[in-house]
Amino acid sequence: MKQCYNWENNILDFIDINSNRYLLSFKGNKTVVQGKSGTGKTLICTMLTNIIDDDNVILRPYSADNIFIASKKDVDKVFEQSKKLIIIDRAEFILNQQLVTFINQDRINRYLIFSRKPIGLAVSPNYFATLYNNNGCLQLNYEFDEVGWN
Amino acid sequence: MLYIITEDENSARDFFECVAYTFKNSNEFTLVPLITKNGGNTTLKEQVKSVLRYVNYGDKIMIVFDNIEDTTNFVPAEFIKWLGIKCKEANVNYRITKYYCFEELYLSYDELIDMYVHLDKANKCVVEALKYVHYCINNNINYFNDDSRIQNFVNMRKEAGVNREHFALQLLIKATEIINGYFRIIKQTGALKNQGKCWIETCNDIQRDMMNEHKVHNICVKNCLYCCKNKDTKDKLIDLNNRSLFRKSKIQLYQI
Repeated sequence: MKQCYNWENNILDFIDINSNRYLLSFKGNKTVVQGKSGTGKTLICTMLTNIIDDDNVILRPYSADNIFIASKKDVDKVFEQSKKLIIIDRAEFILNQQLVTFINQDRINRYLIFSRKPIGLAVSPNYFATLYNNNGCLQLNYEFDEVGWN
Repeated sequence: MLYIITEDENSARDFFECVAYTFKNSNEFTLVPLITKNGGNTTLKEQVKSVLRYVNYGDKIMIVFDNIEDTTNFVPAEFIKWLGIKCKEANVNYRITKYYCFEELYLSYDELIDMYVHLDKANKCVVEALKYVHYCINNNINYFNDDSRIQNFVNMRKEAGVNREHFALQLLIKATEIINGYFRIIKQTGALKNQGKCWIETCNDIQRDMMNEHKVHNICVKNCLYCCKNKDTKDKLIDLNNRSLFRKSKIQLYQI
């Protein structure tokens, strides 16, 4: 079964039930995605949650074992994760200072964080991105790629 | 005219002031006064606005970051986009330091490793971390990861685990604190003009102002390992430029 997230090449790649493709290529361990409503941030989380919650282990097309989607209810479980891609939607509402500090110290997991406000995630401009739809394929657009800021 | 804007009074300001004095005429640059005593990245916008009131066509604004990471009240990416728009409107060019944090400039310097590994008191954990970090910075890789050399250093210096900038600072402190002479780099106002002045000041001036004959003999003549021993500021900066992250930079130190 194919993994939605490939840890080795740091790419999230899957197709949802409506045949929309999500192809997110990350540059580092933390990616902060900003942008207006309706650009696909929450959609990614919803579609991945569907895959994670799918009980049909034999027929489901993807595995998302190495992904943890943090919601307001279970955000404390972030502390327990190891070698996971942790996705946090609406981070400005979910994360408190303790969690931000933990994330900044964490060198084991990787993070995809959707946030509309600065919350001090200690990343350089190289890791800020927006989502865009490229002919039915949702991808990341990085505005900066400066040598020295990686 | 080159306008140099810094976040605060820390080492990065001292360093680029020294670079400007060395490679430019004094009437070719201005070190923009800080808005507040403590400064901080949130004052950068106000400093730029104050400069834009009197710039002329062809002037340059240089933003010297201490650290390019975002904080709870400052997002460098947004600031840089704003800066680009404002500079275009005013017909001036802008430059931004192309390091992650100031400490990485010296952590990427080949000479720091060369000096540290030859010290009798060199710590194995520091040597390993230093070599790994040096390699990563010079190859555009984020070293703040789960590599054992990073973890071992964090185990030794807990403060280093806070984030990448803290790690860089702690490693630089450990690597420079036992080098004979004035090579210590710490994040404190005036550090490069005092404890760390051997990196940038002319040796003759340091010896004349701060050392007696005995000290000169024991520290400089007998024990100094620096390849720029007995050299002046210009030679030291050029060596740093040629053997650090600046070697791959589009704009060299002497071109600012």
